[in-house]
Amino acid sequence: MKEEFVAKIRENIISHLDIDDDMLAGFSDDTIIFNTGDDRPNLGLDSIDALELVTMIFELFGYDVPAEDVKKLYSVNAVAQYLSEHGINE
Amino acid sequence: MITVEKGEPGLYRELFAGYTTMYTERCAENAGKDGSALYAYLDGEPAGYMFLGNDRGTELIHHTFTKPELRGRGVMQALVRYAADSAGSPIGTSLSDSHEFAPAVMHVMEKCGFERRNGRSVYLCDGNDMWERWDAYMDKHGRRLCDTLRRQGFSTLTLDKASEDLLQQYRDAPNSEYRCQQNHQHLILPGAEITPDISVICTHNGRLAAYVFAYMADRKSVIFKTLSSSAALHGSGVIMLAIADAADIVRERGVTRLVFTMERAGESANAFREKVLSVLVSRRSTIVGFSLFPKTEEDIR
Repeated sequence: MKEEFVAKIRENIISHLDIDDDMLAGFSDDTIIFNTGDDRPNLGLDSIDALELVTMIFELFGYDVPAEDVKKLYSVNAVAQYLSEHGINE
Repeated sequence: MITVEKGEPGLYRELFAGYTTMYTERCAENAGKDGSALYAYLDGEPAGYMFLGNDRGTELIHHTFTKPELRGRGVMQALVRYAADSAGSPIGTSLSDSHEFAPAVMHVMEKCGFERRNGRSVYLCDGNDMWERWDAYMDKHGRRLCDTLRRQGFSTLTLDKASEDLLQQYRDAPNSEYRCQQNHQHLILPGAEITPDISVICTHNGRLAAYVFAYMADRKSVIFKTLSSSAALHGSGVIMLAIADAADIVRERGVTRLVFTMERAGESANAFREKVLSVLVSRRSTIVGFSLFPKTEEDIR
């Protein structure tokens, strides 16, 4: 995957989801963003943020993520991987 | 010495003249329909009273009062114990933690053997600028998010337009209000009836996904209960669409006061709803339920 593509996703996630400086400490492309309902550490963002992410993806790439797939978008890398699997990689 | 005896609900007007409010009168009217009243006397002097009502097999304590100058002498405890001992059915009550006497009442209930049940968070939305704040939120965020949900296949309809198939899905949903009522978890809104033409069901490709059920409390006030019922769609933010459409409907009816109630269980779902509702909410409290039930299957689980 192109680094520019991952960077674009990272930058948009950080700005659209209001990820603040405290959350950014230790943030990586594998950081789990949403509360996934298990014990894994995460940034604690909720389903309205997930809905914001899905809306952001539509506005940036013109792709509608099905509701059943929202749980797959749990990190920057997961979003990049998901989009590339659906033919979006730049 | 404290004695307790049963009496007509209207007797309070004579025994406690000068201590009553309009709220007392409403409680007495309700108790007069299918309930009863208890009166406590301290050394022969009327000291306090309690109104009870029976709701689907459960005896509910609707209202208690002790004269201010006689508080701290065990009057309420005597009333609660009498009610519990004489009830021929499960008995329960609920109260808001924002009430000034809540800590004292909760203490008495537990002392008398009542158990706390899951409380509900209550969010009160009112004020002249409520709908203006809502418009600003919808313009900035809400409409974009609702559009996304509609593209994903979510849609809404009012409960009175729901098909029998959808209604059956609602009855079968593990956390539906219907089942909650079956399990005696209806203490918070005793006797309340859902208002079908302002209650919103949200579906996803024809399947029940979430709902906002509404109880018209008076011409200007609505009590909302929101739930998502499809585990597969948890985290999709679907309740946003249900809340937005329900808000549009009640606004057209001239409603200026909304009360949202939520189960305390499911913290992540509540975090989401709080975020949406923070636009509207002016006050928040928790209502705690108390029960003196025989153990139910749910308690055992």
